Amino acid sequence: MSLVYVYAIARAGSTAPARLRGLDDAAVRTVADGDLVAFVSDVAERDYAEEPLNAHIADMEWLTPRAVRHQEVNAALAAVCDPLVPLSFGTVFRDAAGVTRMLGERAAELGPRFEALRGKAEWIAVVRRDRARALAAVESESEPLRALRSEIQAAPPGRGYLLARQLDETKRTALRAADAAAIVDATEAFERAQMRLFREPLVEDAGGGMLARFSVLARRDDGASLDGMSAAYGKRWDARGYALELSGPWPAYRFSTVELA
Amino acid sequence: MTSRLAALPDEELSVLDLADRLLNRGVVITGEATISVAGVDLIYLGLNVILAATESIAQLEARKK
Repeated sequence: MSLVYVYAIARAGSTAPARLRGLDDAAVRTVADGDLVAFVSDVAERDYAEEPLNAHIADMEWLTPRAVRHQEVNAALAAVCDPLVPLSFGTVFRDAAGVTRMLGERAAELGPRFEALRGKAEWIAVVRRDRARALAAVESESEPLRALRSEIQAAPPGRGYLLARQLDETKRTALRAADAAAIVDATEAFERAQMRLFREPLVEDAGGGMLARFSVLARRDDGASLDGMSAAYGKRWDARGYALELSGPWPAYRFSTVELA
Repeated sequence: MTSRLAALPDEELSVLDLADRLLNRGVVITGEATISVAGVDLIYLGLNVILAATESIAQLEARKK
């Protein structure tokens, strides 16, 4: 038995590149309804029904090549379809009729989505901090910190200990303020360029000095401007230990799901 | 900056970025609903499974380094 796996949705009349192959090398074809078309391929029920799929997805050796193929299909589609609403990995229907019903039910909602995504792609933007360099910068810039240091050097041991604790707290506060300013500066740069932003949730202590992550919706040909923004950010912030890193362009996976309001 | 729109060359592939784009917060069409294949016809990948997968990817990448 086979199921129907959906990669993306586009306007009716959109076609996939010839001989495009999807998951497990199955041919990518279209299922149409009204003004919409879904790009799909057949997948085996034994692997893609809910239970086996949920088991497989925790298996990196199984998942990785398939996630890569899912992305390759959407990259190929994005190259020829504009606008394109790419779907997340694991959107599976029992049959083509299910896909048709979904297209019918979602047609009204997808209209504005298409307009928002026309000519667009998304980037992942990460504000990263080198803690040691950021602390050094904070220490050299902060007058209260410099004053505390001088006071500690001149103080007797007991008072010196208390002042050292006060120094640590003052440093943490200054670093938090610098972090906040670095994030706001990145946000404002994207907003000035009229790019839509989505702040990604970040787990506590994300590691790698990651302070904030955004998805950025920009014109597909905005890669050079974004590189320029990252470089300009570096000029403002590199000396203070902060960097703005970008990955993209990606098909608009995130902006296919987030609220558009 | 590497392009993920035109191509995804293996040597430049960041598995974590890929997982982040593809496995995040469920599918477009259903939002957060969990619908089994047997029930209606759409599969939603449970968030706990997604988190486990992302964590495994992070570990996989860490081991590579």
